Amino acid sequence: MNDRIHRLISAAQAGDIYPKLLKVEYDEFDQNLSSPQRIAKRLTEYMEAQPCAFSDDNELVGLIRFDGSVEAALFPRTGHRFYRSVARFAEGRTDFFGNPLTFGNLTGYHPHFAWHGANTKATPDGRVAGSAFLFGGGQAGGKDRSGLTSLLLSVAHMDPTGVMCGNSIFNLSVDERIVTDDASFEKLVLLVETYFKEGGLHIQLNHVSVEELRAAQKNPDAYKSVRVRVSGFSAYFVGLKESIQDDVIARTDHLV
Amino acid sequence: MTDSTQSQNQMPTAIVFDIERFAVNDGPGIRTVVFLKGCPLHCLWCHNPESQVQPPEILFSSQKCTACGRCAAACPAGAHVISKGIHLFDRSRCIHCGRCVRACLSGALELAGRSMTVDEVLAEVLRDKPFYDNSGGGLTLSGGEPLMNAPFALALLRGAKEAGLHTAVETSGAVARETLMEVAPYIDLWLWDVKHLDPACHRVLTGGELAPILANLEALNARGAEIVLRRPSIPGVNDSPDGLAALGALAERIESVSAIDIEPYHPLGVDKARRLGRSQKEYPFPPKDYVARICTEVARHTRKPVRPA
Repeated sequence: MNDRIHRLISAAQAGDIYPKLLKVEYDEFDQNLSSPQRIAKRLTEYMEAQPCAFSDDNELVGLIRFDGSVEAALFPRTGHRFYRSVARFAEGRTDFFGNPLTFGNLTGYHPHFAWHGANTKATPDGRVAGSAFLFGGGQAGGKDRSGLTSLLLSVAHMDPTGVMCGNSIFNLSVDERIVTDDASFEKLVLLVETYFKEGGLHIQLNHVSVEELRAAQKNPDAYKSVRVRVSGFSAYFVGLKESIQDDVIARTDHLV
Repeated sequence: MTDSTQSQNQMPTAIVFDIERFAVNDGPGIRTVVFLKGCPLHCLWCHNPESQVQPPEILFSSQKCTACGRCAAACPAGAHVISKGIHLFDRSRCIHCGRCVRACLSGALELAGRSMTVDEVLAEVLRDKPFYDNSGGGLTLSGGEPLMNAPFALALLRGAKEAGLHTAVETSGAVARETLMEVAPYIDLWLWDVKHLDPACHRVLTGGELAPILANLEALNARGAEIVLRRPSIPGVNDSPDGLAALGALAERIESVSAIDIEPYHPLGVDKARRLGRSQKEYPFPPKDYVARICTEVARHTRKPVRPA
Protein backbone atom coordinates (compact mmCIF):
# COMPACT_ATOMS: atom_id res chain seq x y z
CA MET A 1 0.00 0.00 0.00
CA ASN A 2 2.83 2.40 0.81
CA ASP A 3 4.47 1.72 -2.52
CA ARG A 4 1.32 2.62 -4.42
CA ILE A 5 0.85 5.82 -2.46
CA HIS A 6 4.48 6.74 -3.09
CA ARG A 7 4.08 6.24 -6.80
CA LEU A 8 0.86 8.23 -6.81
CA ILE A 9 2.52 11.12 -5.04
CA SER A 10 5.46 11.10 -7.46
CA ALA A 11 3.13 11.00 -10.44
CA ALA A 12 1.03 13.83 -9.04
CA GLN A 13 4.11 15.95 -8.40
CA ALA A 14 5.36 15.33 -11.91
CA GLY A 15 2.04 16.50 -13.27
CA ASP A 16 1.36 13.14 -14.88
CA ILE A 17 -1.93 12.64 -13.10
CA TYR A 18 -4.39 15.11 -11.72
CA PRO A 19 -5.21 13.96 -8.23
CA LYS A 20 -8.64 13.94 -6.70
CA LEU A 21 -8.67 14.95 -3.09
CA LEU A 22 -10.64 12.68 -0.78
CA LYS A 23 -11.14 13.04 2.90
CA VAL A 24 -10.76 9.98 5.05
CA GLU A 25 -13.80 9.45 7.20
CA TYR A 26 -13.29 7.68 10.47
CA ASP A 27 -16.27 6.60 12.49
CA GLU A 28 -16.20 6.59 16.22
CA PHE A 29 -15.40 2.89 16.38
CA ASP A 30 -12.27 3.41 14.27
CA GLN A 31 -11.03 6.26 16.40
CA ASN A 32 -11.15 4.11 19.45
CA LEU A 33 -9.10 1.37 17.84
CA SER A 34 -5.93 0.83 19.75
CA SER A 35 -4.26 -1.52 17.36
CA PRO A 36 -2.16 -0.03 14.53
CA GLN A 37 -2.73 -3.17 12.47
CA ARG A 38 -6.48 -2.66 12.61
CA ILE A 39 -6.15 0.96 11.61
CA ALA A 40 -3.93 0.02 8.68
CA LYS A 41 -6.37 -2.68 7.59
CA ARG A 42 -9.27 -0.26 7.81
CA LEU A 43 -7.33 2.33 5.74
CA THR A 44 -6.48 -0.22 3.07
CA GLU A 45 -10.12 -1.26 2.82
CA TYR A 46 -11.13 2.38 2.57
CA MET A 47 -8.65 3.19 -0.17
CA GLU A 48 -9.45 0.14 -2.22
CA ALA A 49 -13.12 1.00 -1.98
CA GLN A 50 -12.63 4.42 -3.53
CA PRO A 51 -13.93 5.02 -7.05
CA CYS A 52 -11.03 5.54 -9.41
CA ALA A 53 -10.27 6.01 -13.04
CA PHE A 54 -7.49 4.20 -14.84
CA SER A 55 -5.11 5.50 -17.42
CA ASP A 56 -2.61 3.54 -19.48
CA ASP A 57 0.34 4.63 -17.37
CA ASN A 58 -1.08 4.68 -13.89
CA GLU A 59 -2.72 2.14 -11.68
CA LEU A 60 -4.78 4.55 -9.68
CA VAL A 61 -5.84 8.10 -10.29
CA GLY A 62 -6.70 9.44 -6.92
CA LEU A 63 -4.96 10.76 -3.83
CA ILE A 64 -6.12 10.72 -0.31
CA ARG A 65 -5.30 13.60 1.93
CA PHE A 66 -5.47 13.02 5.61
CA ASP A 67 -7.01 15.74 7.67
CA GLY A 68 -4.48 16.81 10.31
CA SER A 69 -7.11 16.77 13.01
CA VAL A 70 -7.82 13.10 12.43
CA GLU A 71 -4.13 12.35 12.55
CA ALA A 72 -3.90 14.24 15.79
CA ALA A 73 -6.50 12.12 17.42
CA LEU A 74 -4.87 8.90 16.23
CA PHE A 75 -1.25 9.82 16.71
CA PRO A 76 -0.86 9.04 20.40
CA ARG A 77 -2.24 5.58 19.83
CA THR A 78 -0.77 4.75 16.48
CA GLY A 79 2.13 7.01 15.56
CA HIS A 80 3.79 6.76 18.95
CA ARG A 81 3.44 3.00 19.03
CA PHE A 82 4.74 2.76 15.50
CA TYR A 83 7.82 4.80 16.25
CA ARG A 84 8.45 2.94 19.49
CA SER A 85 8.39 -0.36 17.67
CA VAL A 86 10.80 0.91 15.04
CA ALA A 87 13.06 2.27 17.78
CA ARG A 88 13.05 -1.09 19.52
CA PHE A 89 13.99 -2.76 16.27
CA ALA A 90 16.82 -0.32 15.59
CA GLU A 91 18.25 -0.42 19.10
CA GLY A 92 21.61 -2.14 19.19
CA ARG A 93 21.57 -2.86 15.45
CA THR A 94 24.17 -1.47 13.15
CA ASP A 95 24.37 -0.99 9.41
CA PHE A 96 26.88 -2.51 7.02
CA PHE A 97 29.51 0.03 8.07
CA GLY A 98 28.98 -0.55 11.78
CA ASN A 99 27.03 2.67 12.40
CA PRO A 100 23.98 2.49 14.65
CA LEU A 101 20.73 2.37 12.69
CA THR A 102 18.75 5.56 12.67
CA PHE A 103 15.34 6.22 11.22
CA GLY A 104 13.59 9.39 10.24
CA ASN A 105 10.26 10.86 9.44
CA LEU A 106 10.30 11.85 5.78
CA THR A 107 6.81 13.27 5.44
CA GLY A 108 7.94 16.54 3.91
CA TYR A 109 4.49 18.04 3.67
CA HIS A 110 3.90 21.53 4.90
CA PRO A 111 0.67 20.66 6.77
CA HIS A 112 2.71 18.30 8.96
CA PHE A 113 5.28 20.94 9.83
CA ALA A 114 2.55 23.47 10.35
CA TRP A 115 0.59 21.14 12.61
CA HIS A 116 3.57 20.18 14.77
CA GLY A 117 4.65 23.79 14.95
CA ALA A 118 1.19 24.89 15.99
CA ASN A 119 1.46 22.60 18.99
CA THR A 120 4.96 23.60 20.04
CA LYS A 121 6.00 26.63 22.02
CA ALA A 122 8.93 28.88 21.05
CA THR A 123 12.21 27.06 20.40
CA PRO A 124 15.79 28.20 21.09
CA ASP A 125 16.58 28.70 17.41
CA GLY A 126 14.41 31.82 17.40
CA ARG A 127 11.27 30.17 16.12
CA VAL A 128 8.16 31.79 17.63
CA ALA A 129 5.48 29.77 19.41
CA GLY A 130 2.94 28.22 17.08
CA SER A 131 4.83 28.78 13.84
CA ALA A 132 5.60 25.94 11.45
CA PHE A 133 8.66 23.79 11.90
CA LEU A 134 11.49 23.98 9.43
CA PHE A 135 11.83 21.44 6.62
CA GLY A 136 14.70 19.34 7.92
CA GLY A 137 17.93 20.28 9.64
CA GLY A 138 19.90 23.40 8.99
CA GLN A 139 19.18 27.07 9.19
CA ALA A 140 15.83 28.62 9.86
CA GLY A 141 15.18 31.30 7.27
CA GLY A 142 17.77 34.03 7.64
CA LYS A 143 19.08 32.75 10.96
CA ASP A 144 22.52 31.59 9.92
CA ARG A 145 25.06 34.39 10.12
CA SER A 146 28.43 32.74 9.73
CA GLY A 147 28.17 31.49 6.19
CA LEU A 148 28.14 28.17 4.37
CA THR A 149 31.12 26.47 5.98
CA SER A 150 29.85 27.18 9.48
CA LEU A 151 26.36 25.93 8.62
CA LEU A 152 27.64 22.73 7.02
CA LEU A 153 29.94 21.97 9.93
CA SER A 154 27.12 22.49 12.42
CA VAL A 155 24.78 20.14 10.57
CA ALA A 156 27.47 17.56 9.85
CA HIS A 157 28.51 17.42 13.49
CA MET A 158 24.98 16.88 14.77
CA ASP A 159 24.57 13.45 16.34
CA PRO A 160 21.82 11.77 14.33
CA THR A 161 21.25 9.23 17.08
CA GLY A 162 20.61 11.99 19.59
CA VAL A 163 17.14 12.69 18.27
CA MET A 164 14.58 9.92 17.84
CA CYS A 165 13.65 10.91 14.31
CA GLY A 166 17.24 11.50 13.24
CA ASN A 167 18.53 14.38 11.18
CA SER A 168 17.53 13.05 7.82
CA ILE A 169 17.08 16.11 5.66
CA PHE A 170 19.26 19.14 5.00
CA ASN A 171 18.26 21.70 2.39
CA LEU A 172 20.71 24.21 1.04
CA SER A 173 20.04 27.06 -1.30
CA VAL A 174 22.95 28.45 -3.25
CA ASP A 175 22.92 31.26 -5.73
CA GLU A 176 22.74 30.18 -9.37
CA ARG A 177 26.11 31.79 -10.03
CA ILE A 178 27.89 29.10 -8.05
CA VAL A 179 26.76 26.44 -10.50
CA THR A 180 27.16 28.42 -13.70
CA ASP A 181 30.82 29.28 -13.07
CA ASP A 182 33.20 26.32 -13.45
CA ALA A 183 35.68 27.37 -10.79
CA SER A 184 32.99 28.09 -8.21
CA PHE A 185 31.17 24.86 -8.98
CA GLU A 186 34.34 22.89 -8.35
CA LYS A 187 34.56 24.51 -4.93
CA LEU A 188 30.92 23.70 -4.23
CA VAL A 189 31.71 20.06 -4.95
CA LEU A 190 34.63 20.17 -2.50
CA LEU A 191 32.45 21.89 0.06
CA VAL A 192 29.81 19.17 -0.13
CA GLU A 193 32.46 16.45 -0.09
CA THR A 194 33.91 17.90 3.10
CA TYR A 195 30.43 18.03 4.59
CA PHE A 196 30.00 14.28 4.11
CA LYS A 197 33.49 13.52 5.36
CA GLU A 198 32.67 15.48 8.53
CA GLY A 199 29.65 13.27 9.20
CA GLY A 200 26.91 14.82 7.10
CA LEU A 201 24.22 12.34 6.07
CA HIS A 202 22.14 14.08 3.47
CA ILE A 203 22.06 17.25 1.41
CA GLN A 204 19.77 18.75 -1.19
CA LEU A 205 20.79 21.71 -3.27
CA ASN A 206 18.60 24.39 -4.79
CA HIS A 207 20.23 26.69 -7.22
CA VAL A 208 17.49 28.76 -8.74
CA SER A 209 17.89 32.48 -8.32
CA VAL A 210 15.61 34.32 -5.96
CA GLU A 211 14.63 36.69 -8.76
CA GLU A 212 13.49 33.77 -10.89
CA LEU A 213 11.40 32.36 -8.06
CA ARG A 214 9.77 35.67 -7.28
CA ALA A 215 9.04 36.15 -10.97
CA ALA A 216 7.58 32.65 -11.02
CA GLN A 217 5.26 33.57 -8.17
CA LYS A 218 3.96 36.54 -10.12
CA ASN A 219 3.76 34.81 -13.48
CA PRO A 220 3.51 31.06 -13.00
CA ASP A 221 2.66 30.28 -16.61
CA ALA A 222 6.07 31.46 -17.78
CA TYR A 223 7.92 29.34 -15.22
CA LYS A 224 6.10 26.02 -15.53
CA SER A 225 9.31 24.01 -15.87
CA VAL A 226 11.20 25.46 -12.91
CA ARG A 227 11.85 22.67 -10.45
CA VAL A 228 13.07 23.08 -6.91
CA ARG A 229 13.80 20.55 -4.26
CA VAL A 230 11.64 20.81 -1.21
CA SER A 231 12.42 18.44 1.63
CA GLY A 232 12.32 14.89 0.31
CA PHE A 233 11.10 15.55 -3.22
CA SER A 234 11.46 17.66 -6.29
CA ALA A 235 8.50 19.75 -7.26
CA TYR A 236 7.44 22.16 -9.90
CA PHE A 237 7.74 25.46 -8.10
CA VAL A 238 4.55 26.92 -9.53
CA GLY A 239 2.63 23.90 -8.31
CA LEU A 240 3.60 24.43 -4.71
CA LYS A 241 1.44 26.12 -2.12
CA GLU A 242 2.36 29.75 -1.60
CA SER A 243 3.60 29.10 1.93
CA ILE A 244 6.03 26.46 0.64
CA GLN A 245 7.09 28.77 -2.19
CA ASP A 246 7.83 31.51 0.34
CA ASP A 247 9.81 29.03 2.41
CA VAL A 248 11.96 27.98 -0.55
CA ILE A 249 12.62 31.66 -1.32
CA ALA A 250 13.28 32.65 2.29
CA ARG A 251 15.80 29.87 2.80
CA THR A 252 19.11 31.62 3.10
CA ASP A 253 20.57 32.26 -0.30
CA HIS A 254 24.32 31.99 -0.13
CA LEU A 255 25.91 34.31 -2.59
CA VAL A 256 29.33 33.47 -3.83
CA MET B 1 54.74 44.94 35.34
CA THR B 2 55.99 43.82 31.98
CA ASP B 3 57.21 46.38 29.51
CA SER B 4 54.30 47.26 27.20
CA THR B 5 56.30 46.95 23.97
CA GLN B 6 57.58 43.57 25.03
CA SER B 7 54.08 42.23 25.69
CA GLN B 8 52.95 43.71 22.36
CA ASN B 9 55.57 41.65 20.59
CA GLN B 10 54.68 38.52 22.50
CA MET B 11 50.99 38.85 21.85
CA PRO B 12 50.50 41.10 18.86
CA THR B 13 47.07 42.52 18.15
CA ALA B 14 45.54 44.06 15.08
CA ILE B 15 42.32 45.83 14.19
CA VAL B 16 40.35 43.27 12.20
CA PHE B 17 37.29 44.48 10.31
CA ASP B 18 36.14 41.25 8.78
CA ILE B 19 36.80 37.52 8.67
CA GLU B 20 35.18 36.00 5.63
CA ARG B 21 34.70 32.24 5.56
CA PHE B 22 34.13 30.17 2.39
CA ALA B 23 36.02 32.65 0.26
CA VAL B 24 36.48 31.30 -3.25
CA ASN B 25 38.13 34.20 -5.08
CA ASP B 26 41.17 34.79 -2.88
CA GLY B 27 43.52 31.96 -3.67
CA PRO B 28 43.22 28.24 -4.32
CA GLY B 29 40.57 26.05 -2.71
CA ILE B 30 38.15 27.07 0.01
CA ARG B 31 39.68 29.78 2.19
CA THR B 32 39.10 32.17 5.05
CA VAL B 33 40.11 35.78 4.45
CA VAL B 34 41.19 37.94 7.39
CA PHE B 35 40.85 41.68 6.71
CA LEU B 36 43.07 44.08 8.64
CA LYS B 37 42.43 47.76 8.94
CA GLY B 38 44.89 50.34 7.70
CA CYS B 39 46.33 51.10 4.28
CA PRO B 40 49.16 53.35 3.06
CA LEU B 41 47.20 53.98 -0.16
CA HIS B 42 43.74 55.43 -0.72
CA CYS B 43 42.64 54.27 -4.13
CA LEU B 44 39.74 56.28 -5.49
CA TRP B 45 37.68 53.16 -6.25
CA CYS B 46 38.38 51.26 -3.01
CA HIS B 47 35.81 48.52 -2.38
CA ASN B 48 36.54 48.60 1.34
CA PRO B 49 36.89 52.26 2.35
CA GLU B 50 36.47 51.15 5.96
CA SER B 51 39.91 49.58 5.60
CA GLN B 52 41.82 52.74 4.73
CA VAL B 53 42.20 54.12 8.25
CA GLN B 54 43.74 51.98 10.97
CA PRO B 55 41.61 52.77 14.05
CA PRO B 56 38.03 51.42 14.30
CA GLU B 57 35.39 53.62 12.71
CA ILE B 58 31.67 54.11 13.03
CA LEU B 59 29.43 53.71 9.98
CA PHE B 60 26.18 55.62 10.21
CA SER B 61 23.14 55.05 7.95
CA SER B 62 20.96 58.13 8.18
CA GLN B 63 18.06 56.44 6.41
CA LYS B 64 17.80 53.89 9.23
CA CYS B 65 17.98 56.54 11.94
CA THR B 66 14.81 57.33 13.89
CA ALA B 67 16.45 60.14 15.91
CA CYS B 68 15.49 58.35 19.10
CA GLY B 69 18.56 59.70 20.89
CA ARG B 70 19.67 56.45 22.51
CA CYS B 71 23.11 56.83 20.93
CA ALA B 72 23.42 60.35 22.34
CA ALA B 73 22.56 59.07 25.80
CA ALA B 74 25.10 56.26 25.53
CA CYS B 75 27.98 58.26 24.04
CA PRO B 76 30.61 59.22 26.62
CA ALA B 77 32.25 61.73 24.28
CA GLY B 78 29.24 63.78 23.20
CA ALA B 79 29.74 62.82 19.56
CA HIS B 80 26.03 62.10 18.93
CA VAL B 81 23.58 64.96 19.30
CA ILE B 82 19.88 65.11 18.46
CA SER B 83 19.01 68.65 17.50
CA LYS B 84 15.56 69.68 16.23
CA GLY B 85 14.72 66.07 15.44
CA ILE B 86 17.90 65.57 13.42
CA HIS B 87 20.77 63.31 14.37
CA LEU B 88 24.15 65.04 14.18
CA PHE B 89 27.30 62.98 14.42
CA ASP B 90 30.51 64.82 15.25
CA ARG B 91 33.20 62.36 14.20
CA SER B 92 35.98 64.50 15.63
CA ARG B 93 34.72 63.63 19.11
CA CYS B 94 34.26 59.93 18.46
CA ILE B 95 36.48 57.61 20.49
CA HIS B 96 35.05 54.54 18.68
CA CYS B 97 34.11 52.75 21.90
CA GLY B 98 31.02 51.20 20.24
CA ARG B 99 28.54 52.05 22.99
CA CYS B 100 26.30 53.86 20.51
CA VAL B 101 26.29 50.80 18.25
CA ARG B 102 24.95 48.66 21.08
CA ALA B 103 22.41 51.30 22.05
CA CYS B 104 20.99 51.77 18.55
CA LEU B 105 17.81 49.76 17.99
CA SER B 106 17.44 50.47 14.27
CA GLY B 107 20.80 49.15 13.15
CA ALA B 108 21.81 52.58 11.92
CA LEU B 109 25.23 52.37 13.55
CA GLU B 110 27.99 49.85 12.93
CA LEU B 111 31.53 49.61 14.22
CA ALA B 112 34.13 48.62 11.65
CA GLY B 113 37.14 47.05 13.25
CA ARG B 114 37.86 45.42 16.56
CA SER B 115 41.10 44.50 18.22
CA MET B 116 41.98 40.82 18.09
CA THR B 117 45.02 38.79 19.09
CA VAL B 118 46.76 36.35 16.79
CA ASP B 119 45.39 33.45 18.84
CA GLU B 120 41.82 34.70 18.53
CA VAL B 121 42.11 35.10 14.76
CA LEU B 122 43.81 31.75 14.31
CA ALA B 123 41.11 30.01 16.35
CA GLU B 124 38.45 31.46 14.05
CA VAL B 125 40.41 30.54 10.91
CA LEU B 126 41.03 26.97 12.06
CA ARG B 127 37.30 26.27 12.43
CA ASP B 128 37.16 25.52 8.69
CA LYS B 129 40.27 23.33 8.59
CA PRO B 130 38.35 20.30 7.21
CA PHE B 131 37.41 22.40 4.18
CA TYR B 132 40.97 23.61 3.64
CA ASP B 133 42.36 20.09 3.91
CA ASN B 134 39.90 18.78 1.37
CA SER B 135 40.28 21.59 -1.18
CA GLY B 136 43.88 22.78 -0.93
CA GLY B 137 42.61 25.97 0.68
CA GLY B 138 43.78 27.94 3.70
CA LEU B 139 44.24 31.45 5.05
CA THR B 140 44.36 34.66 3.01
CA LEU B 141 45.51 37.81 4.72
CA SER B 142 43.98 41.00 3.29
CA GLY B 143 42.66 44.42 4.22
CA GLY B 144 43.58 47.35 3.77
CA GLU B 145 47.23 46.57 3.58
CA PRO B 146 47.74 43.62 5.94
CA LEU B 147 51.53 43.97 5.98
CA MET B 148 51.28 47.43 7.56
CA ASN B 149 51.05 45.56 10.85
CA ALA B 150 54.20 43.52 10.42
CA PRO B 151 54.44 41.85 13.87
CA PHE B 152 50.84 40.69 13.71
CA ALA B 153 51.03 39.50 10.11
CA LEU B 154 54.23 37.60 10.81
CA ALA B 155 52.86 35.92 13.92
CA LEU B 156 49.58 35.00 12.22
CA LEU B 157 51.23 33.60 9.10
CA ARG B 158 53.69 31.65 11.23
CA GLY B 159 50.84 30.21 13.26
CA ALA B 160 48.95 29.28 10.09
CA LYS B 161 51.97 27.47 8.65
CA GLU B 162 52.50 25.62 11.91
CA ALA B 163 48.91 24.45 11.68
CA GLY B 164 49.59 23.13 8.19
CA LEU B 165 47.61 25.76 6.28
CA HIS B 166 48.33 27.15 2.82
CA THR B 167 48.84 30.91 3.16
CA ALA B 168 48.16 33.75 0.75
CA VAL B 169 48.50 37.52 1.08
CA GLU B 170 46.61 40.21 -0.83
CA THR B 171 48.95 43.17 -0.85
CA SER B 172 49.49 46.51 -2.55
CA GLY B 173 53.23 46.02 -2.28
CA ALA B 174 53.54 49.47 -0.71
CA VAL B 175 55.37 48.22 2.36
CA ALA B 176 58.91 48.25 3.66
CA ARG B 177 61.30 45.83 1.98
CA GLU B 178 62.35 44.41 5.36
CA THR B 179 58.75 43.52 6.14
CA LEU B 180 58.35 41.71 2.86
CA MET B 181 61.48 39.67 3.39
CA GLU B 182 60.51 38.88 6.96
CA VAL B 183 57.09 37.46 6.06
CA ALA B 184 58.08 35.86 2.75
CA PRO B 185 59.13 32.48 4.20
CA TYR B 186 55.60 32.03 5.59
CA ILE B 187 53.71 32.98 2.43
CA ASP B 188 52.84 30.40 -0.22
CA LEU B 189 51.11 32.78 -2.63
CA TRP B 190 51.37 36.52 -3.20
CA LEU B 191 48.33 38.26 -4.68
CA TRP B 192 49.95 41.50 -5.78
CA ASP B 193 47.88 44.54 -6.81
CA VAL B 194 48.94 46.47 -9.90
CA LYS B 195 46.68 49.52 -10.00
CA HIS B 196 48.27 51.63 -12.75
CA LEU B 197 51.63 51.48 -14.50
CA ASP B 198 52.03 55.17 -15.25
CA PRO B 199 53.80 56.78 -12.25
CA ALA B 200 51.95 60.10 -12.42
CA CYS B 201 48.54 58.45 -12.76
CA HIS B 202 49.42 55.99 -9.99
CA ARG B 203 50.22 58.89 -7.67
CA VAL B 204 46.93 60.64 -8.36
CA LEU B 205 44.74 57.55 -8.27
CA THR B 206 46.22 55.79 -5.23
CA GLY B 207 48.13 58.46 -3.35
CA GLY B 208 51.24 56.29 -3.47
CA GLU B 209 54.43 55.93 -5.49
CA LEU B 210 54.71 53.23 -8.15
CA ALA B 211 58.49 52.80 -8.19
CA PRO B 212 58.95 51.27 -4.71
CA ILE B 213 56.08 48.86 -5.39
CA LEU B 214 57.74 47.62 -8.58
CA ALA B 215 61.11 47.42 -6.85
CA ASN B 216 59.54 45.24 -4.14
CA LEU B 217 58.02 43.04 -6.82
CA GLU B 218 61.42 42.52 -8.38
CA ALA B 219 62.96 41.73 -5.00
CA LEU B 220 60.36 39.04 -4.39
CA ASN B 221 60.90 37.73 -7.87
CA ALA B 222 64.59 37.29 -7.07
CA ARG B 223 63.55 35.10 -4.11
CA GLY B 224 61.45 32.91 -6.35
CA ALA B 225 58.08 33.53 -4.72
CA GLU B 226 54.79 32.52 -6.36
CA ILE B 227 53.07 35.71 -7.47
CA VAL B 228 49.72 36.43 -9.09
CA LEU B 229 49.26 39.98 -10.32
CA ARG B 230 45.84 41.44 -9.56
CA ARG B 231 44.34 44.27 -11.56
CA PRO B 232 41.20 46.00 -10.28
CA SER B 233 39.93 47.08 -13.66
CA ILE B 234 38.15 50.44 -13.47
CA PRO B 235 36.34 51.51 -16.66
CA GLY B 236 37.99 54.54 -18.20
CA VAL B 237 40.72 54.69 -15.56
CA ASN B 238 43.24 51.93 -16.07
CA ASP B 239 41.90 49.96 -19.03
CA SER B 240 43.41 51.79 -21.97
CA PRO B 241 45.10 49.55 -24.60
CA ASP B 242 48.53 50.94 -23.59
CA GLY B 243 47.86 50.30 -19.95
CA LEU B 244 46.77 46.73 -20.57
CA ALA B 245 49.79 46.14 -22.81
CA ALA B 246 52.04 47.37 -20.02
CA LEU B 247 50.36 44.97 -17.58
CA GLY B 248 50.93 42.03 -19.91
CA ALA B 249 54.54 43.10 -20.43
CA LEU B 250 55.10 43.28 -16.68
CA ALA B 251 53.86 39.73 -16.25
CA GLU B 252 56.22 38.58 -18.99
CA ARG B 253 59.17 40.38 -17.44
CA ILE B 254 58.69 39.11 -13.86
CA GLU B 255 59.43 35.38 -14.00
CA SER B 256 57.76 34.47 -10.73
CA VAL B 257 54.43 35.80 -11.91
CA SER B 258 52.26 32.77 -12.65
CA ALA B 259 49.06 34.52 -13.75
CA ILE B 260 47.11 37.77 -13.89
CA ASP B 261 43.70 38.12 -12.21
CA ILE B 262 41.36 40.78 -13.55
CA GLU B 263 38.83 42.02 -11.01
CA PRO B 264 35.88 44.06 -12.23
CA TYR B 265 35.01 47.32 -10.53
CA HIS B 266 31.95 47.33 -8.27
CA PRO B 267 30.50 50.46 -6.63
CA LEU B 268 30.44 48.66 -3.25
CA GLY B 269 32.59 51.30 -1.68
CA VAL B 270 30.44 54.31 -2.49
CA ASP B 271 27.70 53.66 0.03
CA LYS B 272 30.18 52.49 2.65
CA ALA B 273 32.18 55.68 2.22
CA ARG B 274 29.02 57.72 2.69
CA ARG B 275 28.28 55.87 5.89
CA LEU B 276 31.81 56.64 7.04
CA GLY B 277 31.16 60.33 6.57
CA ARG B 278 33.28 60.51 3.43
CA SER B 279 32.45 60.69 -0.22
CA GLN B 280 33.78 58.45 -2.97
CA LYS B 281 33.62 58.82 -6.71
CA GLU B 282 31.27 56.38 -8.39
CA TYR B 283 32.64 54.94 -11.61
CA PRO B 284 30.45 53.46 -14.33
CA PHE B 285 29.31 49.92 -13.64
CA PRO B 286 31.11 47.65 -16.09
CA PRO B 287 28.97 45.75 -18.62
CA LYS B 288 28.67 41.94 -18.38
CA ASP B 289 31.40 41.09 -20.89
CA TYR B 290 33.85 43.70 -19.56
CA VAL B 291 36.18 41.35 -17.67
CA ALA B 292 36.31 38.90 -20.55
CA ARG B 293 37.29 41.69 -22.94
CA ILE B 294 40.01 42.99 -20.62
CA CYS B 295 41.39 39.46 -20.19
CA THR B 296 41.53 38.97 -23.96
CA GLU B 297 43.32 42.29 -24.46
CA VAL B 298 45.94 41.67 -21.76
CA ALA B 299 46.45 38.11 -23.00
CA ARG B 300 47.70 39.52 -26.32
CA HIS B 301 50.79 40.74 -24.49
CA THR B 302 51.66 37.73 -22.34
CA ARG B 303 51.75 33.97 -22.57
CA LYS B 304 50.80 33.66 -18.91
CA PRO B 305 47.15 32.96 -18.03
CA VAL B 306 44.94 36.04 -17.70
CA ARG B 307 41.74 35.15 -15.90
CA PRO B 308 38.70 36.76 -14.30
CA ALA B 309 38.98 37.00 -10.51
